[in-house]
Amino acid sequence: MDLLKQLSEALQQGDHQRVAELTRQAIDQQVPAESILDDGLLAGMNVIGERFRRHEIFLPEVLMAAKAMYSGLELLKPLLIKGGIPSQGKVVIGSVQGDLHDIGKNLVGIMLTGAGFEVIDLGNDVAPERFVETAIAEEAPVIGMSALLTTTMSVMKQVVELTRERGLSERVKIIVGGAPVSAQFANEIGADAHGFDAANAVDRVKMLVGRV
Amino acid sequence: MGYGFAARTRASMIDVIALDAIRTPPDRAAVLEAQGIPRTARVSEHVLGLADRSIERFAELVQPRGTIAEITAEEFAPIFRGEGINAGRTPVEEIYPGAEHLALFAVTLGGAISDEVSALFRQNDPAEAYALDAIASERADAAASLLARQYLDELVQAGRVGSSSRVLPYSPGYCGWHVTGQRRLFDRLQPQNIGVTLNSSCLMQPLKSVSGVLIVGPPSSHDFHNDYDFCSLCSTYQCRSRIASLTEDVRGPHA
Repeated sequence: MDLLKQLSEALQQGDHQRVAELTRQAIDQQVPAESILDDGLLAGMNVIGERFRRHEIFLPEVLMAAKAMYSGLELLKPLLIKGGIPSQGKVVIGSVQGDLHDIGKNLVGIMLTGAGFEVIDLGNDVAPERFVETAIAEEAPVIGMSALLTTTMSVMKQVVELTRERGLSERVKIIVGGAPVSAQFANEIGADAHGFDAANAVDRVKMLVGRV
Repeated sequence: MGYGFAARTRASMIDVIALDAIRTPPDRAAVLEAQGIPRTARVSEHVLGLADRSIERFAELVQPRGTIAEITAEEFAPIFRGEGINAGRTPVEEIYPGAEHLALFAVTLGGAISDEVSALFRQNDPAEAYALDAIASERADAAASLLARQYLDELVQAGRVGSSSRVLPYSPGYCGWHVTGQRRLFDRLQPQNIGVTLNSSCLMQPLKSVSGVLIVGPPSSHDFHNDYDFCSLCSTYQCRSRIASLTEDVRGPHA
């Protein structure tokens, strides 16, 4: 079997050790880094994503595949940087100020990485200014915010307003999510998108950056 | 085994309760279900192994505790009112005035589990982290239910309620009771005695903690129609399964 196909299969099986091994082999054989990424790692994650959408597999399998992807990506990263190979786009994510819940945010970050995005994870309890300043500094086209408390949802509106005040509304798109966050709320605060779960968030981010 | 609660009749007593039964993790099927995997799904050996490891990890790390304090309806009224920003109509405000008994409560699984979940994410083990977190979330809710059952058992044993009475826990942050309601609840209950604190955003720490009020009354007293303003925004309608559970025998082994 073709090496990159083997890589994709190993990723789909969640075999992170095999993925690392095959990635090393591909690098040693001087397979172009972009091909290893696109035809090996991302190809495998795309299959995983499709099977997840069809409910053939569930979140644990997706996360195991994501771990396997990370194993390959860590080896590939220096070559990708050296070759100037861009990601699908940069996304700044975080749980809003006052909120320490991060499971949902972590899952979104993992799945965005699995989809080829570069994720800048600011962690928890992130002040509105920090979301915006980081998006500017990193030239990130998307800010993603998570909140699990009704008391912290209001921070999301502050971030939307900050981007407007700085004239960034066209350049930086905002997606929000979390248990108490509805599409209606997202619309009311002027966010560009709402993700109702991690997989949906990835689809919405792809739309925001025009990669659908 | 009882904790002697029934012997205390003063409403101001606050009891700290060990919840040893919560140390027993749920079965594998329940663990998978907590991760969104239906019981009818075919599951790989990898995922089964993940569930088993998470169950072991949970048992090693959990440190369950609870605290409870009886309260009168008059005393509960300002606690429920909180900062005056509850929804216009809520199930709790319509249920509690007719309650046979009320008690503030808080339960926690301790901080070690949340710390381990964070560590697993940092170590790039998201599947392990998610599984452990799912178990812990289910067990935290189970701890609240366990404390509720223990409270009801004691009331029945003491002859303070009839055997047909039922209890449900209700928590701020749900069904129109604003999450800031925890502030007055914490002022009264003092859950820091079991290591649970509240930050300025009303986030409890450790994260796997639950607080609220236990309402005891006839099964019918807990039922309501889903015609509140916030019902149309709800995606789970967990209230229905909670109410349906009241037709089961929810009393514990002491009954």
